[in-house]
Amino acid sequence: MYQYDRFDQAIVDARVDEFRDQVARRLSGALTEEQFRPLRLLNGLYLQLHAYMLRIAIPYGTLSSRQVRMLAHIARRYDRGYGHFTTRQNIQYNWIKLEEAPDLLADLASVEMHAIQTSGNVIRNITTDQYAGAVAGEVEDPRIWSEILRQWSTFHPEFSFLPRKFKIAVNASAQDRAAIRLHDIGVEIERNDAGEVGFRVYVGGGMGRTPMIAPLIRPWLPKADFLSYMEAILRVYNRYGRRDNMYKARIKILVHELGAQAFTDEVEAEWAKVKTRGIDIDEAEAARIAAYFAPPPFDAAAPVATPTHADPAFGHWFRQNVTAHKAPGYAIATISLKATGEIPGDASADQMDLIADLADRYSFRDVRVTHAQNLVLPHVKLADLPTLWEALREAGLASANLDLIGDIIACPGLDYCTLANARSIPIAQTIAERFADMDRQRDLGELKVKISGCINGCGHHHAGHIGILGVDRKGVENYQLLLGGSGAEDTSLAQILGPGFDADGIVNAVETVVETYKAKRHDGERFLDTYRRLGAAPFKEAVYGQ
Amino acid sequence: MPFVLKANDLRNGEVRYWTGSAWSPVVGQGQQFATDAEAIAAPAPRAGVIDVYAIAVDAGQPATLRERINAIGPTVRPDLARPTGA
Amino acid sequence: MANDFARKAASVDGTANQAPPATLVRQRGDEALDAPLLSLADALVSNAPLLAVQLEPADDARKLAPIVARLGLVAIHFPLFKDGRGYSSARILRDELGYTGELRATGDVLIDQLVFLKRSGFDAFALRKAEDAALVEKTLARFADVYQPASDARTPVWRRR
Repeated sequence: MYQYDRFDQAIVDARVDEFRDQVARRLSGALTEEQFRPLRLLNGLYLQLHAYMLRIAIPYGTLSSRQVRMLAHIARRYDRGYGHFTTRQNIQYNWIKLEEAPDLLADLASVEMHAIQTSGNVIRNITTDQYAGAVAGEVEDPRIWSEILRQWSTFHPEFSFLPRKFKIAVNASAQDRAAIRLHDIGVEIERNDAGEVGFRVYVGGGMGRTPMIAPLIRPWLPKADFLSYMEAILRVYNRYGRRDNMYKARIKILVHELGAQAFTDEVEAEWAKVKTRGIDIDEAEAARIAAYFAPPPFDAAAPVATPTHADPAFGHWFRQNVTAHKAPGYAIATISLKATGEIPGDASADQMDLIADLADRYSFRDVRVTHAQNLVLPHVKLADLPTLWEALREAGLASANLDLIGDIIACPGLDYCTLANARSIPIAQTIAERFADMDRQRDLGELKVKISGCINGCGHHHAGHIGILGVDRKGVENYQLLLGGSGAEDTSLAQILGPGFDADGIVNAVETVVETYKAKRHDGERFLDTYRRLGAAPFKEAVYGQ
Repeated sequence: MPFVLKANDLRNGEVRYWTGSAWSPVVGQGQQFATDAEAIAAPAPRAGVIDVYAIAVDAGQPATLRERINAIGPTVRPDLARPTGA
Repeated sequence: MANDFARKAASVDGTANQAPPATLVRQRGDEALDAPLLSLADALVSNAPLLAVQLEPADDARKLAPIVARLGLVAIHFPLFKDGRGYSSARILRDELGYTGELRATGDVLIDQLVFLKRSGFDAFALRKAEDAALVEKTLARFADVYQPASDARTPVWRRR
């Protein structure tokens, strides 16, 4: 993975120095809250319901075990002993004190971490496939270009006061685990007919208030032109994105209002002017960064036999949570942070320390964060999986529910977030408990439930096979049910089924939908397939009795 | 319904309620005013606090779910619950 | 078409920040041009041999191309600091139009924007609030290394590696 050189370190250290200064000026009164707020947001520090919340960047969801240990330390020293992994592959802490934030950032900087641009109207964390560098069939490791984007976008002077936040996702596999078409810019790394590696660029996707699937803006972009093209897109957005209404300020609105072709023409015209300005890195720099993502020294003699364990629970976990690796004898293991009844995406400091140890022992010190709020050990020997599983099980981290109905994405919701209208975590917990029977979960198969506590959609409800949106209905929590969304390469937006429900009602409605699927499915159909084949009608009838 | 003046502590972000003489973390100790305007006009020092506004209370406890959660803590972490003086 | 978008992109008027600047930080050796600041529209029809222009956020800086040789001072107005269109205008003036005269940031300009402004090509800053000269210097010097090229002379770190 990427290692800071002295330049990277100097940049992060300078930022800590700057923020320490800004906090001191705030506490002395030299800065008002109005002046200070955007500055602290640029360092990911929000004022939330209970205290300050800090969002720490985990660039393209990749962590070293050393960094995971630091996250555990942060949880203990500065917070209440736990952290929350987010749908953008970052981590959040909910109980931070402003006066301690500069020391916290200094601790992070000591392990090449930061909270730069995790909030504010700037380019945010670049997200990608959690199996990058491990999964078979990948065109090229998407983290290489994610790191290149990270550097280009960090403290970009022209794009630090955009109309609104800006999110970029990168993918390099036939399967899209990064939901690229639901981002402001989605980049697909591909090979052309001549065998060259380049990019397919989508612009204008997003969830939230007005969900949209990004149209294709550029079918082919060579590596040599990548950053200058990104710069052109951002400049068009900076100049023409709406600033009169914050709910219409994302680039998806600009693309939609202009139309994809007119928007493309603007970008191409701008690009013609900026492509000669020396923005693009040269091949040597691209190769230098790529070298950091060279595969670890896999053991060529690692046994390829399917691992076994006396306990049948291991077999379930192996079949559900373990994905094929490109190197023979290895596997990708997903650590579920969705134990039944637990808070989705939360991990205690003790669990983090354990995962760091396991990464050291079994995964070349490499840990990933998924946008579904789970963790991954990407390079585990098949032969080590049984002992790994035993260690995970002891720590409550071995739920064999990857992509099953128990693997729910839930935003923090009204329990933590000032923007929320309803709680989402208790709904997730109740659904997980209702479907706690693992035989039942396995029988239902792939079923992605995603819950947001407000229209901003941080729980990705528009991309849920079953999506739930919490709203405030005259002071009482109410939940809307949506069906048929997907954030994968078959991107679609979930559609609302009918009137909303209270907290008990929504869980019953989900169960009714699930049972309807079971009754009507054809062999091999996932819930999403049955829904797409039949449409909403049978589900609507079952839930609302019409 | 009466109102209590609420803010967040600048240094640590924790919620605070104006008791009439101090900013307290316990909502039940909040001084009650007949209207939100009166609560906001109370001579509570603004130094060291941010995001000051008035919340409706019912029998001294917050009237809305959001403000109840703000006063107590996340409903999913009862181990982190704070006293409300109820 | 771009004009429609310039209008729609217009920010809320920041009338709160029309007080005169408390500090003018100027990083040029020459004297500032003493001429009235014209709007873009007025500048385009002026015959004066040397002009001072003020650009608003919705103004298209490229429109200055025909008269760039006669520009002695360009002020770019930030009614609200969070409206970042002025940064693009500045870069277009420097990089594309080749403007080398004074480029001044005015309006809601705080010390915390100085580094971004300077990197975008500004060489004069009408700070809204009086600031200690030492603090200004410290702020401008804080980031010795930059990741990307902009409109200042700084070399991005990848070229120095």
